[in-house]
Amino acid sequence: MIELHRVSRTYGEGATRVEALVEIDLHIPAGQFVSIMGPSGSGKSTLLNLVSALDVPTAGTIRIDGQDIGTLDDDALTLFRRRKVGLIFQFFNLLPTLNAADNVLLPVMLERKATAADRDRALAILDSVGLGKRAHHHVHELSGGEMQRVAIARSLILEPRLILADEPTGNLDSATGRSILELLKRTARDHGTTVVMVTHDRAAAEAGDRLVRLRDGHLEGDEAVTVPSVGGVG
Amino acid sequence: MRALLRGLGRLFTGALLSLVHLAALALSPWRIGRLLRTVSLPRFYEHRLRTALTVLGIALGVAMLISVVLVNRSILRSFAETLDDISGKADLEVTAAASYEEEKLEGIRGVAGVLRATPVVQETALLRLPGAKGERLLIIGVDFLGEDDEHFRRYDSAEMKAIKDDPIAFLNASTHLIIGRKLADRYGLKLKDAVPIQTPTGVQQFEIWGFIEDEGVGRAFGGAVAVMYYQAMQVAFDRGTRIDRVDVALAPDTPAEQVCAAIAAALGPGFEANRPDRRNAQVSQMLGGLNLALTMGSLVAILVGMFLIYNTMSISVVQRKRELGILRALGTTKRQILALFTLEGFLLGCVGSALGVAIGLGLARFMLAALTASVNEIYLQVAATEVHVDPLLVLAGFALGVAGAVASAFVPAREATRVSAVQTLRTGRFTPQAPRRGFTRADAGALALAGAALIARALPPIAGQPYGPFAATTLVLLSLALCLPRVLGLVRAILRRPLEAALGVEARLANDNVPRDLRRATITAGALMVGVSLTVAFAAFLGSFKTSTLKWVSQTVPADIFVTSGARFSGVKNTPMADTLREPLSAIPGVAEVDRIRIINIVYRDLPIKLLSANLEIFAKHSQMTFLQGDAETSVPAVLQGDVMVSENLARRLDLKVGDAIKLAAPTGERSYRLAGVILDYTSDQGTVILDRATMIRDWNDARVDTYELYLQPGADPEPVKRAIEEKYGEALNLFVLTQTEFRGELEHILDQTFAVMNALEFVALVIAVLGVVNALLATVLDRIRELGVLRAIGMLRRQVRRMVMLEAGILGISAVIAGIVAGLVLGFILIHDIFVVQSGWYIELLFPGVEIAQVAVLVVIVSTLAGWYPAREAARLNVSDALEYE
Repeated sequence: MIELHRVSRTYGEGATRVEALVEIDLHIPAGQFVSIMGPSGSGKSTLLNLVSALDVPTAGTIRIDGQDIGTLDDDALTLFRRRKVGLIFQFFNLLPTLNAADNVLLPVMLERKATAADRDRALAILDSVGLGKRAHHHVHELSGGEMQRVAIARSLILEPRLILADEPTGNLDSATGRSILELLKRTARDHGTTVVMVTHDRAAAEAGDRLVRLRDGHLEGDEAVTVPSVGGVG
Repeated sequence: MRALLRGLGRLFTGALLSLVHLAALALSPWRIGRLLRTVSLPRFYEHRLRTALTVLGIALGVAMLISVVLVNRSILRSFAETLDDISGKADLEVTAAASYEEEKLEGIRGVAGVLRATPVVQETALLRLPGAKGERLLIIGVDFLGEDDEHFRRYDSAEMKAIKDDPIAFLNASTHLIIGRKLADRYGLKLKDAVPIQTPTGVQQFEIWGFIEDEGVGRAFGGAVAVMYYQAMQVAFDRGTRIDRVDVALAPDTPAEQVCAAIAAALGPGFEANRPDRRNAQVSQMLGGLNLALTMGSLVAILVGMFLIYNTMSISVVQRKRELGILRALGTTKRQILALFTLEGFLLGCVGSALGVAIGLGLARFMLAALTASVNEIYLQVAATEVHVDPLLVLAGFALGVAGAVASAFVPAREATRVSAVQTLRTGRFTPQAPRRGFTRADAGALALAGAALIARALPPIAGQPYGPFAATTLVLLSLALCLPRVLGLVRAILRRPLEAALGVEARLANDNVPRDLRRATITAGALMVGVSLTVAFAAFLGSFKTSTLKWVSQTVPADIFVTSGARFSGVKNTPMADTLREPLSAIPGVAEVDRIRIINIVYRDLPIKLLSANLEIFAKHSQMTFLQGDAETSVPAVLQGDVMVSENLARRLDLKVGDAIKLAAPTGERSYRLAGVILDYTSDQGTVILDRATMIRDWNDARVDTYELYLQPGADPEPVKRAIEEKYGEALNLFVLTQTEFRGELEHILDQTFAVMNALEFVALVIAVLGVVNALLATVLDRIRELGVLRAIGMLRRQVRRMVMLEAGILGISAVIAGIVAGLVLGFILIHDIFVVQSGWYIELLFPGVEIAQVAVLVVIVSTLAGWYPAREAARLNVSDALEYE
C-alpha cells in the first residue's frame, strides 16, 4: 500500500539547514493501522505530510498503491488527496460556515455536485460515528470530541484507501480521546482502510497494529503492538 | 513584461514604504515614536501591498480634491488677472445691462469727483492665422490718444510713441492694431504684418502697428491680446457708436459711494458705477454651481479614501490582537495603544496626502485644459493656461487628507484599547457571529440618518448654494452604508442556490464566507457602493438633463439648419454676424424661412443673464414652446408688441410672474418690459429674457445676428442647402452650418465635455473602492490561511481556491451594486430636485438611467471580481503544509 524508499526531507539552506527526515525506508501493507511516534522535531509530521502528498521529499520515492506520487503535478496530487486519502487533524479543522453534515459532504462537493444519495451516505456515516442527531448542528455548537468525529466522518465519505491522522486526540480529554481511537480502529477494521496516525502519546500509539518510532529524522524502531487495549490518552 | 511590471510594482511599494519609514523615524525621539518604529513598521513591511494600497487610496482622494480646487481657482484667477490688467488703475467702472452709447461719457466726466473717465470696447475674436486652431484674441478698444487713458493703463510698447506722435496715420484705417509680444512671437509676426481676424462682416486683415510687452495689458488673456483705437474697433466690429464701459478714476479723497450714486443719477436708471472687482464676484457666482459640484465630487473621493483607511486599520487591529495582548501584558497603557494606532493612521495619512499633493499638482495641469474648454464653451472666455498653486489650498488639502486618515483610524484604534491581554493570548477558536435579528442599532442609525437627510434636503440655500441638499447626499450614503449588512444578507440568500448550482461548492463557500467579518465586508462594499452611487446619480442627472435639453431643442428650436460664425454654437465663442445674409439665404432653393437670432449678455438684478431676440412670428410658427406661465395665444402677440418672455429658471430665481415689469438698461435708456410668459428654455443656466427682433433693434440698437435659423420647405433635403451655404459664404464668414441632427449631436458633445470631469471623479472613487476590495480580500486570505490549507489538504484544487476568493469579491460587488443603485437614484433625485433647481433654476424630470445602470452594474461586478484575482492567486499559492501549521 505505502512504500517509502530512502526518503529524505530537508528544509532551509546552509546554516539554517534542517534534516527533518533522513533516508527513511518504510513499507505499510493495506489495511494496517500504523502509529508513528516520536518526540517533537523527530520528523513524524513531516512523514505524514509526505505520505499525504502535502509536501514532496527532497530525495527518495514514495509509492502509494503503486503510484510514485513524486511524479504528479499539483492538480494530480490534490486529486490524489481528495480521492485516496482521508485526513484528520489535531485541531479538527472543520469549516465553521458549514454544519456537520455539510462538512462531511465537503470532499464530495469538491468532486462533484452532491446527490441525495451522497447526503444519505453522509448522514449514515455521521450516525455511525454517533452524531446522527447532530448532523445539522453548526460547528461551533459541537464539542471537541464531536468535532473530531465529524472530521473522521469527513475523511471517510469518499471511501479512501488511506486515512492519515495527525495527533487526532491531542486536543481532547482522555475519555473522548479513547472513544476517537476506538472509532478509528473500528473504521480501519470495517472498511479495510489503512490508517497512519501520528502521535506523541504512547497510550494512543498502542491503539494501532504497528508502532513506528522516529527520532531526529531517523527510523528508531518498528514493532508490532502487542498490547491490544487502548490506555490513557490525552 | 510581467517581470518589468513586477519590478515597477516593487519599486513603487518600496518607495512608499521608505516614505512611511522616514516619517516614522522622524517621530523616533519620542517614546511613542519608538513604539511605532518597533511595532508598527515591521507590520507595514509585512503587509507592504496593503500598506501601499491604503496610501494610494488616500493619495488619489487628496489628489482629486487638490487638482479640482486648484483648477477652479486658476480659472477664476485668470479671469481676475485679465480684469486687473485691463482695468488698470480704474477706481470704478460704469456699465449698463449691455453696451451703451458713447455719448454717456460726457455725462460721466461732468460728475463731481470724477477725475478721469475713458471709454472701453472689448471683444473676444477668432484668430484666423494658419495654425491658430481656434485661438481667440482679446481685443480692447481704448482712447489711447486721449489724455485720460494714460492714467489707467500703460502700454509698454516701443512703437507707441511713434503712433502718438503721428496719430493720423494710425487712425487712417479701422484695422490698425498693436498686439501682445507673446502672441507675435508665437506666430512669428512682424511689424506691418497682416493678421486675419473674424469680425461680424467676415474675416478682416488687421495690420500690426506695434507690440505690447508682456506686462499690464500685454499680459491679459494669457498674452493673446490686441489694442485698437476704440472708434476704429466700433467700425471693424459693427458696434455703431456703442462702448462697453467707461473706466473712472476718482479725485483724491472722494468717497467712491458718493460718486457711484452721482453717476447713476446723472446717467439715469439702468446705469451703474461699481468697483471693477465686482465682475469677479459675478463670474464667481456664474461658475459657483460648477465649482461646488466638482468640489463635492472630490470630497467623495476623499470619503472613499477614508473607507479604505478605516478598513485597513480595522483589519490591522483584528490581525494584531495577539500582539496587542502581548503589549498590554508587558505594560503598554491603553492610552499608548490608542496613540499608536492613531499615529499609524496619521503616518499613512501624511505619506498618502504628500503623494496626493504631488499627483494633484500634476493632475491639475491636465485638468485645467479640459475645464477651461468647458468654461469657454458655456460660460465665458478665459485664457487659463497656468495652474496657480496656492500654498494655503495645498496645505488645506494635505491637512484634510491627514485629518481624514486620523479620524478613520481613531475608531479601530479605540477598539484596539479594548483588547484584553488574557483573552488575546489564548488561541481563539472561530465563533461565527450570530445572525442579526430584529431591529439593530445599525437599523436605528440608518433610519436616523435617513431622517436627517430628509431634513437637510428641505433646508433653504445659504448664499445661493444648496448646502443642505449636499449634506443630505452624504447622509443618504451613510444611511445606506448602515443598511449594507441587510443588503449583503439579502443578496447572499438570493444568490446562494443559483450560484451553487452554476458554480459548485466554491460559490457556496464564497457566499458563506462573506459575512464572517461583517464589518470588513460592509466597509468594503460601502466604498464600492459610494462609487457606484456617484456613477448612477450623475448618469441619472446627465441623462435627464440631456433628454430635457434635446427634447427642448426638437420642440422649441426645430430649425432645419443653423448658421453661425466662428463657433458651432451661438453664445460665448461665436462671432456675431452683420445682418446681411437673410436675403441670400432665403434665395437658396429649398429654404422656406430664415429667422435671425441675436443673443447678448446682460446683467439683470445682479445676474449675468442672456437677452435673446428672434423674429417671434417665425419662431412661434415653428416652435412648440412649453409655457409655464401664459400661453402661446396671448403671449406671442404681446411679445410682438414689445413685451418679453423669460425662461423658467429666471422666473424661478427671481420669482417673476406674468404681468411683472422687467426693467432693463438698454443703450437707448432704461426700458420697462411687461412679462408676457414664462417658457422652458435652456439657453443659459443663469436665465434668459426673450424678446422680438424688432424690439431688440429698436431698444438695443443691435441688428447683428448670432444664428441664422433656416426652415426648409416640406420634404427638402437639408444636405444640399448646407453645402450651398458652405460653398458660397462658408470661408469668408467662417461659417458653421449645422443640420438639426448635427446641432443636437454638438449639444450632446458639449454637455458630455462639461461633465467629463465629473466622470473622472466617479472613476477615481471607483478605483479607490476597488483598491479597497483588493485590500480587504488580502486580509481575508491572511485570516483564513489555515482554513485554506485544510481545503487544499482535503482536495480543493488551486483553481477552485482562486474561484472561491474571486466569487467572494464578486458577491461583495453585487451587494455594493444593488445598494449603490438605490443610493444613486436617491442621490440623482436630490441632485435634480434640490441641488440643480437651486443652482440653475431648471426643473428637469428624473429619468431612470437603465442603460448606464446596467453598464455600471456589469462593470463593477466584473471589476470587483477581478480585484479578487490577486488575493485569490495568493490564496491558491499557499504552501499547504505551512498553511495547516499557521496560527
